[in-house]
Amino acid sequence: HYFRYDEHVSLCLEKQSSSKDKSKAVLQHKYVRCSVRAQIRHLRRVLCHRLGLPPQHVQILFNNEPLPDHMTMKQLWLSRWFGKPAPLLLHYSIKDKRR
Amino acid sequence: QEEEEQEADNFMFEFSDKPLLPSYNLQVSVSRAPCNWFLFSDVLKRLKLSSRIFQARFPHFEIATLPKAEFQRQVSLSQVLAQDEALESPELAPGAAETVELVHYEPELLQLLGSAVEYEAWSS
Repeated sequence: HYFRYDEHVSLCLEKQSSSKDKSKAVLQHKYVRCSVRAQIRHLRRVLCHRLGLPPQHVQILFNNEPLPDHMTMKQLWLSRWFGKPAPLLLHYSIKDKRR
Repeated sequence: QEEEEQEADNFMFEFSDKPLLPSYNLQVSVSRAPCNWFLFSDVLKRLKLSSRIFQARFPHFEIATLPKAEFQRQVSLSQVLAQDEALESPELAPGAAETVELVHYEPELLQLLGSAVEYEAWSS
């Protein structure tokens, strides 16, 4: 695969504020850079790891719209952020465990 | 070698609490595949070091030079960089030197810049 030669995208991840979310987990390092070939599912897993949450507990959103797991960063950038300056702004929400 | 293979199969994620320095995907010579670079001037500014001190202290980081026009040509081909923003650095202003100095984007340098690095397998 040789992903380390890939072009990068630079992201900023803000927590989606929700009254239902009682979790205190907030990302300390919110600026993220990765390969254009990384997918939403990879980003989700890395976030869960950094937030100390089990996998599948984080959702990634753009403009309140959850992003599909297999979307790549390149697809995301070209469809939502083309021509705009870095970083691309995303939100994350932590799923309620009771649901 | 095993480590290298593993690295090649994994995505690297860089995390920082500060806005990231821009990185550029560039081919610096015909015999080499494109890879990622920082502008050396950006790195020196962030670390508050002179070029001389940086190179004396960290001789293992790779520095390369590219003609400014070639740098700008390659950057203009990127679909994920906003062009005016990409050319904002003082080093790229008209009248500055005709070449740009680059430093290779690698995990050890990211840590020096205060970023954390995480790997995620493609297949996961």
